[in-house]
Amino acid sequence: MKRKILFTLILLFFLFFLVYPIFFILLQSFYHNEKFTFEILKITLTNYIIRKSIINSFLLGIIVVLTTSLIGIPLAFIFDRFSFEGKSVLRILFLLPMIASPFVGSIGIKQILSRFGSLNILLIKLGLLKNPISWIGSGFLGIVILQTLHLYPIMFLNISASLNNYDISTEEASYNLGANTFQTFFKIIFPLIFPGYFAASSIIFIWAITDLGTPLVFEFNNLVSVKIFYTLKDINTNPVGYALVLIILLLTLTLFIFTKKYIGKTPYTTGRVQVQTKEKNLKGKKLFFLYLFLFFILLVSLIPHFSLIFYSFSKKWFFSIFPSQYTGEYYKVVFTHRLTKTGIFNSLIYSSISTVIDIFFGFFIGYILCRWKIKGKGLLDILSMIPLVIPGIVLAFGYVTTFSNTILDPKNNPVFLIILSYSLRRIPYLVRTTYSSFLQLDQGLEEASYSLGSNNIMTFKKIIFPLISPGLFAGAILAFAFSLMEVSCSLILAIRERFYPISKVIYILAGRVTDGPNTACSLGVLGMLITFICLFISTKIFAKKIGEFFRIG
Amino acid sequence: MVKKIFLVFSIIFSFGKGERNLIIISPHWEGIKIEITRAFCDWYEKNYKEKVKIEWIDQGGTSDDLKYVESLFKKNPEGIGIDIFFGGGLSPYLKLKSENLLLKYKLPQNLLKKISKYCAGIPNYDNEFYWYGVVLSGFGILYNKRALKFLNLPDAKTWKDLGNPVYYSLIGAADPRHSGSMHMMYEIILQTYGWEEGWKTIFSISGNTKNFSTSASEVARETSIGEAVLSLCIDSYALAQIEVNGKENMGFILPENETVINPDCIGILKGAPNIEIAKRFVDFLFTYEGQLLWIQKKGKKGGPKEYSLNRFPVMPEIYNDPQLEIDINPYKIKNTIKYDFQLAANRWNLIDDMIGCLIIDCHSELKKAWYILSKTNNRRLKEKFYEIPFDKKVQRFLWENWKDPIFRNRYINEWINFSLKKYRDIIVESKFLM
Amino acid sequence: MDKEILTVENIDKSYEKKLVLQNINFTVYENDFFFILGPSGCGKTTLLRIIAGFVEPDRGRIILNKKDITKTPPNKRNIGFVFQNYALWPHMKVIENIAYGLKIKKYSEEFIKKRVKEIIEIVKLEGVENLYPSQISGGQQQRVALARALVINPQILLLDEPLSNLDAKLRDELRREIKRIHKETGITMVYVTHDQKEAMTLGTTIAVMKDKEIVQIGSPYEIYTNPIDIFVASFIGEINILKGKIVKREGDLLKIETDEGIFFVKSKKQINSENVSISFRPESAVSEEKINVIKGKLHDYEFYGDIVKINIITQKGNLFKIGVYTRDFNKYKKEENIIFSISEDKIMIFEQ
Repeated sequence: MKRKILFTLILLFFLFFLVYPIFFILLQSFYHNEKFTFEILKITLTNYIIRKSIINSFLLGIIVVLTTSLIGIPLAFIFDRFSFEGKSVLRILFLLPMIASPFVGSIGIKQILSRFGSLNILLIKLGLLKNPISWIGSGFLGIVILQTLHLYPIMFLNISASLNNYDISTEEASYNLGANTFQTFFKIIFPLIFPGYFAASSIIFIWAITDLGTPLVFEFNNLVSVKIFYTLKDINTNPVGYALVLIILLLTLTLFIFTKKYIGKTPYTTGRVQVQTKEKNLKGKKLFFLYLFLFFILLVSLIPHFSLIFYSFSKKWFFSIFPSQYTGEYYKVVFTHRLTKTGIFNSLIYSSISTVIDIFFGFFIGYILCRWKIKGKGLLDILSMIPLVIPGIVLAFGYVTTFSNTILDPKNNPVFLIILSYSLRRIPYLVRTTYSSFLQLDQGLEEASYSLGSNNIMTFKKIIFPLISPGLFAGAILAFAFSLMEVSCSLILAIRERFYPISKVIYILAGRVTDGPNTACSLGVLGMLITFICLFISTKIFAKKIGEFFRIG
Repeated sequence: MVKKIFLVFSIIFSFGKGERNLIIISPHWEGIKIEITRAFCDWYEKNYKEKVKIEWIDQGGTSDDLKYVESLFKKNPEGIGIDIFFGGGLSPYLKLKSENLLLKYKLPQNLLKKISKYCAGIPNYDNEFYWYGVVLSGFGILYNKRALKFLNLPDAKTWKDLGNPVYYSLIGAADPRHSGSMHMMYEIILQTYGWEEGWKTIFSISGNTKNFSTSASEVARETSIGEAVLSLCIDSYALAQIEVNGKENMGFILPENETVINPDCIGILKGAPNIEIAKRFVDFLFTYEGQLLWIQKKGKKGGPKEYSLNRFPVMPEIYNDPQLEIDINPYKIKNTIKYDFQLAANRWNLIDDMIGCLIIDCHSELKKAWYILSKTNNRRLKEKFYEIPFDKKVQRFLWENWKDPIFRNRYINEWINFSLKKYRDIIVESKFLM
Repeated sequence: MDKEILTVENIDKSYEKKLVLQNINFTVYENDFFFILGPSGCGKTTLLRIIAGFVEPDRGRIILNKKDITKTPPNKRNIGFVFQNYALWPHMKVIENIAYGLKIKKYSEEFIKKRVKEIIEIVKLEGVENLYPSQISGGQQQRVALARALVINPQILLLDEPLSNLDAKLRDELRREIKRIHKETGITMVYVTHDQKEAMTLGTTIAVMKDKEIVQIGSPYEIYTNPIDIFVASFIGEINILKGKIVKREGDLLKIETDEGIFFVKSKKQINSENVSISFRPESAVSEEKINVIKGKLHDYEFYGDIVKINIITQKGNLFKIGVYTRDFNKYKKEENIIFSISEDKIMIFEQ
């Protein structure tokens, strides 16, 4: 009986805060002036600028998939096939670019890439450049660069996992039968890693087109995500936003289903074949070039982070490679300024509560899915995985439109919805971790406790929780870090200043004159630091499983 | 522990309980909000023996805030839970008033009599007391001296100078659909040079424009890092950038006889939930101390604590204050152009959409056409470049019907297609000429 | 000896419409070492879990000490359970694992200390108390599992194939240990296994299960010598089988015609059909030519140390396994005719 109540409550939660808003968007995009119509879709698709934005978004997604492939795949092969000094350290360093969202990175990088930014000044000083060109361009190029540098680790992780996953002997068999390297790659290796590649590409594609922060900072407006953001302001007079969200939703769903089909596994597969990979030792020149390549990529991908740090300390940075005057004042400002203080406080509260919610849901859903026999379990399984396919921007849009003029209206107090959106989006990861922990946890361990006279609560406290908690906490720490620097929902849902989380404060400050951008950078650096620490702790507990967080399907 | 958690919760979930709150939507930048909040709260506590809080809502630029407010009113015609609209120039207030979204409030006589009714022929407050100008803004050109010198480029003195092809892709500007100050500058150009010359100038400048930012402040910042070399800019942003990067590196000019001094206003919104405080807030802004705050440097007596606001108060008396170290007096700036605010307010959305459709939404094509034109210098094609899809006389009919979304959308689509065809034709034809 | 501890009545259980237990009935008496023996998949573990309360039966009752506990949750049953894979808690030290049940019952620190020490002595775990389960050997883990279950002084101890994860030598050792512990503590045990050797050597009572049902309950001797059917007979030990037909009945003496000639069988069993199988165990054959004779040639043999099992192939091509003492083994030569006979009361008879 108690089980049924808990189960029903969890189901209702998902239905109300996940399914209903999405359903509402669907309804609104076909329902205008009290009748069913395709008019909104038609208006949307015949509008030139909207069409252009859709095309741009597509282009952006595809280009970023290509650029991340160009970096990520060779990197994965290098790490799979060669052994060299410092490999394990380098492997972690290559995950570093993920610690700052490109949104934060883009604030600093303008100082580097602009027409008279550090890069061009350097080139001019070296005599390599006469007429400085802008590397940001219309902003599109800047977005591509930032997103690529942020997202290639996902490609790297996924391809690495795929390479790890298959037996090297299949490749050897191919050589043995007379195929050359080229043939082997296209006939054997590529088909084998394709599911992983496809999955990674889908995540990167979706990530790129739904990223809101980066284009906002670069002020490149002809993208679907930005259009959605702006249409929200006049959504009551202009329903185009619904149709745009619908398009994004359909796109992500299609990709997700495709990925699922290609991978053909349930999201819960744990443990894979341990395969001995053949790592070659490199020597001399080859080793040198390998290091050169790796360090070059690493350096380039950390430029946004370095520029952020420099900018946060710069008092004056005008027409020079590095700032000409430094100051630590902005860090003081971060802790004294009303807005930044509010932001930090809010974000800590939001993220903590949402993490607690995540732990709760992650634990119980994982437990129910693994241990209970109850009707509707399949539904819960699906519902708890849906947030994976719902981009933040869609969820936030759904919340704003669905709950406007209700008690939950984010215009009055977005706290509840922000916390909810933070936690909902991380639930699938925690469900996954706990589910696999439960699978590995022998049921006998619990039963042994019962048979010794222990009741449910004691067994939970003494046996289940201590055994599940390492995975759960590693996941929770990551969820916390991600929530702390979450962008889309924060930008959209926080409308009143006193409810701003860090990301929104950064965005607002970045757009301000005088010391705004510097302060934004300091805040960004702090965020980066916290994320890094969380990631570090989490990897310590979690070891290699970190990759699971960046995979779908 | 439980108590602490409860405390945290009650902090987050309490709104409007106990303390009095004032809710203001404003495109003003952070510094202004901080200084005004501080000064007002102190003043309020001193005069009314009560604590008050201001809550700022920010939706982006002026146009974004305006759209937001209008959209909310559509759903809740009686009031939207926001007390005050603050900043964004004058035109938004004319628009809000015409839509009947403002609340009439007459300042106490002792305050009212201290504000000059006009500045350079432009009203400083509504004669029906729906809105009041708090500070005055000047619009001009911000430029990066170092970059100009590096690129060996001439200075620009007038709006028209910015249309010189030597500045190709070096001009900074923002989308007037988002930024009210940017809109003002385009309107000023139109009124300075007249409809046809005005559009020609705007097209030329846009041909040189690097790309259209969303916010005016970003334009100022991009000029300081040389991404743009010259840009359309409001005085306060320009002065702020110069303060940071030095007078030797950056400069700002107000094109002589080609610009207007424009009041930056405030108005109480219909259905304001905290009407009493809202009125007192307006009162405060027109007290001597409320006015001095805007121009006094930070740290000085009567000045702001953290941020210099660099704005010009509407109270003429201020400029006689002996403590001020300022030599500009907007009341003494000569201006010959007659700026028609009513016209500007009437066609606000129309101009926005025109610039949007004819220029920004097809900016890449426009830029390409402009670049090729500057190489071929073909007269006929240049004329074609400046073409506008309708006659000046029609504009009244257009703006009067602009509220009808179907009407508006029809024109928007038509204009975009018109512009795309125009620019593509120029590109193709020029290739034959070259 | 005759006090009933556990009674299982009419238990049915099915999973997803597939019946796994059908009409299970038995009683376990005090001090009994009760074995549930059956091939894997016959439902014996499910039965044990029903007794422990981890699984709810579809029908029937479990009575423990005259109390119906069918609906009692497992933690209120006071039944010890030793898991097949021990289920030791990896995050607790050995001593914590053992003391857990006592702590749950809120005994005093002092008592817990005393009792744990006692039990550690019984299972001989001195010296590893402060190690984690992952730091000790498989045999020691098994002892911890036993100790943990015993420490709470359960009314009955259930063991689910506790030795199946150990290698042969350890298994022998621990089997003896369990026997000793049973003797020392006098606790009633129910032990599930598929290993007939364990059941035969340890058990006082054996219930043989076959495909969701209990087919026979009895002492090891009874089961071995008087199995109810061929399945039980062959599951509990090696047998030779011969099909035949009853041609004559004289009281409890039956005359049966088979491939290998006429056999006489003495049986008290009620045999209704004429078609029967007769069988005998390898050690029942003696090297004489009396009645019930089998003639054949030495085919091959398996050497067991003290005995040798030789396979004889008859002219008809039937194979028979016969056990002889190693000291007699050199009597038999390959390709020579060998003759055996089985006394009529050593032959078991089953209906076909």
